[in-house]
Formats: sequence, C-alpha cells, structure tokens
Amino acid sequence: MSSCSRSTSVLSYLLDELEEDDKVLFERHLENCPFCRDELRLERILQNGLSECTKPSAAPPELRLNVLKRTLTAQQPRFPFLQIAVTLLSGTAVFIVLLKVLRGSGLLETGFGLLMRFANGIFAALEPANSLPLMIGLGIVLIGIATGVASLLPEK
Amino acid sequence: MINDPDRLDDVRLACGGDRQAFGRLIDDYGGLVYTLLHRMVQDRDTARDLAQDTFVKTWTKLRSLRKHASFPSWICSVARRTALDHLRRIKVRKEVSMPEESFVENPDNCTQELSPEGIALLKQAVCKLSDRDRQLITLAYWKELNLSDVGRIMGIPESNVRVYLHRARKRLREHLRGYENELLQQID
Ligand SMILES: [Zn+2]
Repeated sequence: MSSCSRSTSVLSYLLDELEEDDKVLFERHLENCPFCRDELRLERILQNGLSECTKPSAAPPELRLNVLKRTLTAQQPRFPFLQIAVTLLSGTAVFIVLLKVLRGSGLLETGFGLLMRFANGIFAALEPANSLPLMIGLGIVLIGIATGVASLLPEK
Repeated sequence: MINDPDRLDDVRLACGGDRQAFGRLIDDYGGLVYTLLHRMVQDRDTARDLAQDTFVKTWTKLRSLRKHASFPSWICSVARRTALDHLRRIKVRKEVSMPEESFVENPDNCTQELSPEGIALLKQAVCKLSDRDRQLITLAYWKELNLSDVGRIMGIPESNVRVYLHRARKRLREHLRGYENELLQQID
C-alpha cells in the first residue's frame, strides 16, 4: 500500500490529541493498515529525533559574570515611562514658574503678545494659586503625582 | 512554566533585587536563551552578546513580572524580541537557512533510535524550514515550555499553536521525502 486517506490522523494520534472514541477507531485501523503503521513509526522516530536535536546547548561560560557586571554598572531605569512623565511634568512646572517670573518682571509686555495672552490665560485659570511659592508647590505636587502613578504602572 | 519550588524562589528573590538569585537564573536559563538567539541570528558571537542584553533587560524589568512561574516563557519572549530588533537593525534577509552547528552536535546526546546519519538527515530538514517553523519546532520541544508558553513567545494564540505545529511537521516531512525508508530502517 502506498498511501492511506486516514494517515492524516497519525500525528494527532501520536501526540495524543484524538478524542477517546476516535483513538479507539484509529487503533483498530492501525491493526489493518501497514501504511499507517509505518507512518506512525516514522513520526515517532521524528518526534524523538526532534526532541533530541532541538535540545538547548549550554550557556556561554562567561554569560553569568558579564551580565552581573553589567547589572551593577549600567543600572537602567526600571520604568522608562516614569522618566518621560517626570521630564514632561517637571518641564511644565518649570515653564509655569518661568512664565510667572517673566510676567512679574514685565518682560513679556514688549513684543510677546501671544505668549502674554497665554500666560494671562493660565494664571486666570489658576487664580487662587497666583503666587510664586504656590506655583513652585504646584510643580512639586505634579511631579509627585507623576512619580506615584508611574510606579504603579507595570511595563508591558 | 516553573514547577521546581527552588527555582520559583530564585525568581521571587531576583524580583526583589537579589543578584545571586538572578545569577542562578542565568545559569538555569542561559542555555535556553543562548540557543534560541543562536538559531535566530545564526552567529555565535552575536548570540552571546544578545544573550547578555536579554538578561540585562530582564533584570531591569523584573519588577513588572506578575507570574513568577512564567519566567521561562517571559525571558524567551524578551530574547526573541531582542533578536528580531537586531535582525531589523542589520536588515538581514530573514529567510536564510540555518547553520547546522546551532543544533546539538554531540552524538551521545542523540536518540538511541536514530543513527548519526539519521540525525544528520533530520537536522538538514529542520534547517530547510522557514524561520518561523524552526523557531516553533525548537520551542515546542523544550520541556521548560508548554504550548501556551510557545504561543506567548511567538505571538500566536494558544489555540493556533497546535495547528501551526502540525503544518511545520508536515513541511518537515516534505523535506524528508525520499528518505522515509532510510529513516525507517534506522530502527529495524
Ligand atoms: Zn491507514
């Protein structure tokens, strides 16, 4: 016999993926089908051969030492997100404080109309907090919140 | 998945910043990571460097590991991404055939059923598979990983892993066409 339509079940049978009933039926078929029996032997040989020749090789001997050295010297940030958030929020805080200072000094009134209007808008919105120490405080709080939130977020 | 409680302890300790425990994990999984990388990038020195990068990355991200038992599949995912990034960087054509040297050479390790000639045939056939089929077959036969791990590493839904594996095996058989009798005689 040079082929058999049921030989497609051989691998599933070998990997024990057939339902119990199908398994019994296929075992009965195996008794009478030399082609499927040969297929099963071949697939079994491949199965064993593959698990042998795909075996992992040994780790490079210096791997552990080199990695541990690098974890000591090049401690990377645990959360890149935290860095980004802190950078953005501290940038914002510095910007707000800078605007406050510039506005107070009157520098913005000469030739920075748009920026002046923007600054006025921001400070109108933050009216109760309209003093320099409060602004700095606000910046610190923003950074604190960002740090807290970032440390709660797991990395993907 | 990790079942050994000592290994699980090492993962837990390493997550807390214990370098010695992390060192033991490097010993335990370094071979797996290195082999996967070697089969992907096809160069020993590069695989060695990338294995270091993989473990350093893992160390810095350990805190985000939620399920300690899934450390093996997690580190294999990191390794696979590291290799893919590298291949993208050097813009290597991805479907090149594998050097056989990345497979186990020591005949003592080989199955008793197959002679060295049989193993050589099988290796040749595996090397002719596509990158993805070869990765799939490699990972699926590692006892440290189950099929859902393999799915996670390869970015394939677990339900499809079996289907893809069957197809990979089928293609492997196609590469062995004409050698069936030779292989069957191996155990006669
Ligand atoms: Zn049959």
